[in-house]
Amino acid sequence: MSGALIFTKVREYAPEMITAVRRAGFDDVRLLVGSDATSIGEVEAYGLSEVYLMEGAFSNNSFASAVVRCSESFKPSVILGPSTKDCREIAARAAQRLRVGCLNDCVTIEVDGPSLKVSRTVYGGTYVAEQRAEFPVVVTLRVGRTKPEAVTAASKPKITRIDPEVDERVRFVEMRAVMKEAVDLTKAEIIVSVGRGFKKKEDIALAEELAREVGGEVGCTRPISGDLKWLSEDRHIGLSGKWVGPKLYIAIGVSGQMQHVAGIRGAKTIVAINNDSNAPIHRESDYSVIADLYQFLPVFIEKLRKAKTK
Amino acid sequence: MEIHVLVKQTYDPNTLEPNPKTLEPIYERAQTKLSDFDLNALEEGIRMKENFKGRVVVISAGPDVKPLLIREALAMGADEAYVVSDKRLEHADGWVYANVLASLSRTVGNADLILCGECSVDEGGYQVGPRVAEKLGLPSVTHVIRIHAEQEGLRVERDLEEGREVLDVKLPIVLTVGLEINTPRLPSLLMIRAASKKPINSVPLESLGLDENELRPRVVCASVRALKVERKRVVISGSLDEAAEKLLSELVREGLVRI
Ligand SMILES: Cc1cc2nc3c(=O)[nH]c(=O)nc-3n(C[C@H](O)[C@H](O)[C@H](O)COP(=O)(O)OP(=O)(O)OC[C@H]3O[C@@H](n4cnc5c(N)ncnc54)[C@H](O)[C@@H]3O)c2cc1C
Ligand SMILES: Nc1ncnc2c1ncn2[C@@H]1O[C@H](COP(=O)(O)O)[C@@H](O)[C@H]1O
Repeated sequence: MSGALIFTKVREYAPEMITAVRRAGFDDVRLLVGSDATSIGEVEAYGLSEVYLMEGAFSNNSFASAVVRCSESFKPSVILGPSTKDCREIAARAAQRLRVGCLNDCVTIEVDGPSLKVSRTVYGGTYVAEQRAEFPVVVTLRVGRTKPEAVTAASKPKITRIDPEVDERVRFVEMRAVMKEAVDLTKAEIIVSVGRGFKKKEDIALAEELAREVGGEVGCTRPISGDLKWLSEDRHIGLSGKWVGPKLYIAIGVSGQMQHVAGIRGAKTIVAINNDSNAPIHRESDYSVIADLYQFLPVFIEKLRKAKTK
Repeated sequence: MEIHVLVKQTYDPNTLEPNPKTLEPIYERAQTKLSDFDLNALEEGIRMKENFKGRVVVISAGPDVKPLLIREALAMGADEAYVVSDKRLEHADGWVYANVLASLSRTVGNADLILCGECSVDEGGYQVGPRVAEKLGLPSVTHVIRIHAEQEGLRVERDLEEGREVLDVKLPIVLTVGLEINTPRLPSLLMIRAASKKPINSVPLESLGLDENELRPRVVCASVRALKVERKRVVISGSLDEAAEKLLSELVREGLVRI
C-alpha cells in the first residue's frame, strides 16, 4: 500500500477527506485541489506531503485529466474525493482512463490487504453492499460523516501548480444561484417533514409552527421541493436528497415510498401522521397517528403549548 | 441526429424482499424493470428526435436482458434496440459495462448524442455514462436538467449542490439525466402495437472486439444486506384529542420533546 491522492474541486471538503484516508492508514497523503495558493494554509494542518493546485476555470473533463496526471507521477493506492455531483463524474472518467475500479458514494472505507473494502447503498437505498476493489482504485466518499482532525506538527507540503487542459467542447456560461436557506438538516435533532398530504403552500405554516414548538427544522419529500418548489432543495430528504439522523422525525402527509425512507433510516424515533392506514410510512414508524393532518395538527400544537405553559 | 440511449434492466427494489434470517435479497421473487432515470433519458432522446429528426437507438447490456422490457422502451418511441445479453456479464461492474456499451454504441454507428441515467437503481454507480464518454473520447456532462438546441451544439443546465450551472457544449457528447428533466410518457396501445414490429438486434459479446482485461470486473461485491431498522409500530388511536394527548405523553416520556 502506498499513498492516497485526494481530489476535490471545492477546498472545503479537503479536511474531512484527508482525515478519512489517514484513519484508513495512509501516511503519504497528497491533495489535488481546484484552488489558488492563498487558501491552502487551512488544509495543511491535516497532514499533506504535497499539494497540486489547479487555478482558474476548467471542466470536469479537464479536472479528471489532472487527476490522471497526478496519479501517474505519484502512483497512489487510493484516489479519493467527496461524493459530490462533480467529483463523481471526475472519479468515473479518471478511473476509466487509469483502467481501474471506481466506487462512488461510499459510506465507509477500509484497507483490506491489497484492496479497499467499502460499504455503499444499493437498490435505491434499501440495501447495503460490501464491495472490494484492488489498488489502485478511485473512490468518492459521502460528505459530512468524518469529523476533520488536524495532525500535530504537520509539515509544510510541497506546492506544485498544475495547468488545466483546455477543452473547447464544454464551455462554462454561468452559475445561477438557486433558492437556498442554509439549513443543515443532517445536523438537526428534530425534523418535521412535509409531504404531499399538504394541499397548499400556505398550509406548510402548520408544520413550521409545530417545528418552532418542538425546536426542530422543517424538511420535505421530493415532490414538495422538486415539482412544487414549495420549499428549497436543501430541505429535501431521501435517496436523492439529504440522509438525516435526528432524534425525532415527524412525517406529516408523507406516504413513505422507499426513496424517501432511504434517507430517514438513521432517525432514532419516527412519528407518522397520515390519514391512510395503508400508507407504507406506518410500517416504518415508531408511532403512527391515522388522522387528517388538518384536524390533528392544530389540536396537537395546542396541547403542546398548554403543556409548556403549565 | 443519431441518438443512443443507454437503458439498463434492473430489479425493482420495491419487490426485492430480504430473506428474514440472512437479510440477503431474494432475487428469484423480485420483478425486473427498466432503471428509473433511463426512462427520463429515453424521453429526452425521443423529444430531441421529434424536434430535430433522426433516430433513437436503445442500447442495453446484461446477463439476461428481457426482450419484453426492451419492447417497453421501443413503445415509448425509440426506433430500434441493440442488446448484448450474456451470462458472462453476471458480475460486470462499471468498467466492464462501460467497455461493452461503448463498443456496442460504436458498432451501431457514430452517435451525436448519448443519453444515460445519472445513476442506475440497482448499482447506483454514477459512473457508466462518464466512463463511456471517456472510452469513446467524448466530453460528458452529468446531472443535466435542461437541454436546449443551439445553432452549434447544445446549451445544457446542470443541477449542482452550489447552484445551477449553464454550459455550452459541442456534439458529439454524453449527457446523464435524472428525474427533474421530464416526465416519461406512457406509451399508448397503438405505440405498444407498433413496437412489436421494431427490431431488437442481439449482438454477441465476442463481436465487440474487447479483450479479457476489458471484461474483467475491477469491483467485487462481497455481500448485500437489507438496511432494516426495527420500529415500534405503535398505532395511536382514539379521538383527535385522545390521540394528541397520547402522542405527546409518549414523546415527553422518551425525552424527545421537552415541555
Ligand atoms: C429514482 C427516484 C428517486 C427519488 N428520490 C426521492 C427522495 O430523495 N426523496 C423523496 O421524498 N422522494 C423521492 N422520490 C419520490 C418518491 O418515490 C415518492 O414519489 C415521494 O417520496 C412521495 O412524496 P409524498 O410522500 O410527499 O407524496 P405522496 O406519495 O403523494 O403521499 C402523500 C401522502 O399524504 C397522505 N395524505 C393526503 N392527505 C392527507 C391529509 N389531509 N392528512 C394526512 N395525510 C394525508 C396520503 O395518504 C399519502 O400517503 C424518488 C423517486 C425516484 C423514482
Ligand atoms: N448494463 C447496462 N445497460 C445499459 N445501460 C447501462 C447499463 N449499466 C449502466 N447503464 C447506463 O448508465 C447509467 C448509470 O449507471 P451506473 O453507473 O450503474 O449508476 C444508467 O442509468 C444507464 O443509463
